[in-house]
Amino acid sequence: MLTVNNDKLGNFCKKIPNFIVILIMLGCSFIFFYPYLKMLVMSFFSAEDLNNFTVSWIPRNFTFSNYSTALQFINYFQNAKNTLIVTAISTAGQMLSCAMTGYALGRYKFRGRSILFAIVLIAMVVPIQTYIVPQYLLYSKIGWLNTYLPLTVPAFFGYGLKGTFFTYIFMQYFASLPKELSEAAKVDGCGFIKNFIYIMIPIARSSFLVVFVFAIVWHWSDYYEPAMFISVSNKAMIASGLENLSYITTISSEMISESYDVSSEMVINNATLMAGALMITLPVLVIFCFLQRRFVQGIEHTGLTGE
Amino acid sequence: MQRNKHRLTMTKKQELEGLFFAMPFIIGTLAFFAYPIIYSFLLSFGDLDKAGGTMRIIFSGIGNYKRIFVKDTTFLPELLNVIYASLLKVPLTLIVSLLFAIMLDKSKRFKQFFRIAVFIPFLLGTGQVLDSMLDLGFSKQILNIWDNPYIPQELLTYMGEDILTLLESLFNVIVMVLWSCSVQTLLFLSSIQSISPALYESAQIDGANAYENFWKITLPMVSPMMMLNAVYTIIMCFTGRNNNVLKYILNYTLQKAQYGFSSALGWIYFLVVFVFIGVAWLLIGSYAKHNAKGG
Repeated sequence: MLTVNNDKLGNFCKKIPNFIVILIMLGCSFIFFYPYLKMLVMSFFSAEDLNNFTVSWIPRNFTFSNYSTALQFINYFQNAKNTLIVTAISTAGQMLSCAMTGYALGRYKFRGRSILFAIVLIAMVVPIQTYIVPQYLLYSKIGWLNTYLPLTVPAFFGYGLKGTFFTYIFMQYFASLPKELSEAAKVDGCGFIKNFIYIMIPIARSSFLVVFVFAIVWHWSDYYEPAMFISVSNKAMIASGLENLSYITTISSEMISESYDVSSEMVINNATLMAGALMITLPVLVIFCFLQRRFVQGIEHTGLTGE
Repeated sequence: MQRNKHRLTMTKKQELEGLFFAMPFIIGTLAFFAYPIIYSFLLSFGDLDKAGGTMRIIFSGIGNYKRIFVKDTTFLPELLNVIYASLLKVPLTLIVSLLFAIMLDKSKRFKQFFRIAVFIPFLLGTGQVLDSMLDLGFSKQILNIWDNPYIPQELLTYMGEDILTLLESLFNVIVMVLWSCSVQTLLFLSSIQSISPALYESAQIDGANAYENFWKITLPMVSPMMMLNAVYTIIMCFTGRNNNVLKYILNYTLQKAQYGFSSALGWIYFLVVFVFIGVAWLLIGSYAKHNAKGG
């Protein structure tokens, strides 16, 4: 089934003129940008606009109050600071440890290599929900609950959020590099650690960039593990604040005032939710805007798969 | 010390260097992964001793697994639903992202813009932001057929409700696929761009057309990336939040505190994911091998 479809589409894609490609891409771009556009527009809706079916894109009563409510409710600046710390540390850890593991698996033959590779695959595939309970018990036993250690320390050992996926990316890249590369350095008297630091890491910078962007986005928006291991509210991650907010929009206002510390003039609705969501993705968006030139071109020039 | 090192044979030295670089991962595996995974496996054959507050497991044989297949009436149907959805989504995502990658590679105008556009949905992350949008029905609004001013009402009534519902769910799947193909497109693009232009040039001299180029050069050259993308897509399909099986498992873990049973559910689920990846591995692997042999 896969091959038949590919056949027709591949053929089709080659034959259609350029402007049709552009037309398709423009159409798809609308779908790609839709979430952000809608989110942006909706965050300015007032409560009446939300219930008014004739309002779909342009808010009739423009309001900024959703932002202040969302910021206050998510505890934005505190939580953003927490998330920033965890994201920065784990991203750094993963870039280092996953590159090392990927380098070992991609360029060395040693006993137990196939076992390690199997472990990478298994760790990549097993859903975290399968072993979250024993992990919780383990961390509670060594007293790591309500600290950032369960989120950051595994990142330095090739684990952490999607760590094995990064290892796989690095492995594939390093495996594709020609053998002569390190041979030449070895002849010049370069030790194996120096070889890694001064030759391999600079060559693999496009892979590093890819892993960097992936890791930042994933760590920033991660909610599951932090919610499991951290229950103190002043250490909460930013995504869990949004989770609370989205829960509140589904329950009645009486229940809100009972269980949450919300003053009566605060209006929490889907517009607030969208304002919160936009604020949460904003830092990632800004980082991407700064990196996008390098990001897109870096991949283009060096190629993630070698050459 | 230094002299000792020199005396090591070449292969031995290679082995030690490899182990050196793999050391963090080996330590990490022993410290953070081996214990939870083995414990969870054992736990699936029993239940946690809740009264003692210890981590002791009370074993009860294959009772949990029996319960899944014999007594439980929700898990298997939900699992089948997820499997069907993935059977549709995984190949579709791979094809769409490969197509996008080819288009991005070929497109001359708006190149930069499209590359950013493809990557935009990824920035939403996989977590809560996307979820709240799906809850609000964003994915259904884009290609709405029910109250769309551009589609004449007569056509809708002519087509009937069944076809329209089918179309709607199809559109929904397409939108979801488009929103989740950024990573794969990017990886494919990087793979395509690393193909040496000399290959295409020599093919051109031999008189190959675009169709042959795709099948004989592009596809074989991206097949290693196809493997990685297939694995990634499968995992994404199976561990996405909007997934009833995971919700069901989580419910047993968090609300009902039946840890043994939820572990067993998780392991069955893991097995299904693994079978999926095994099949993908075989398909793509045999394709790559066939290419290596037949050219």
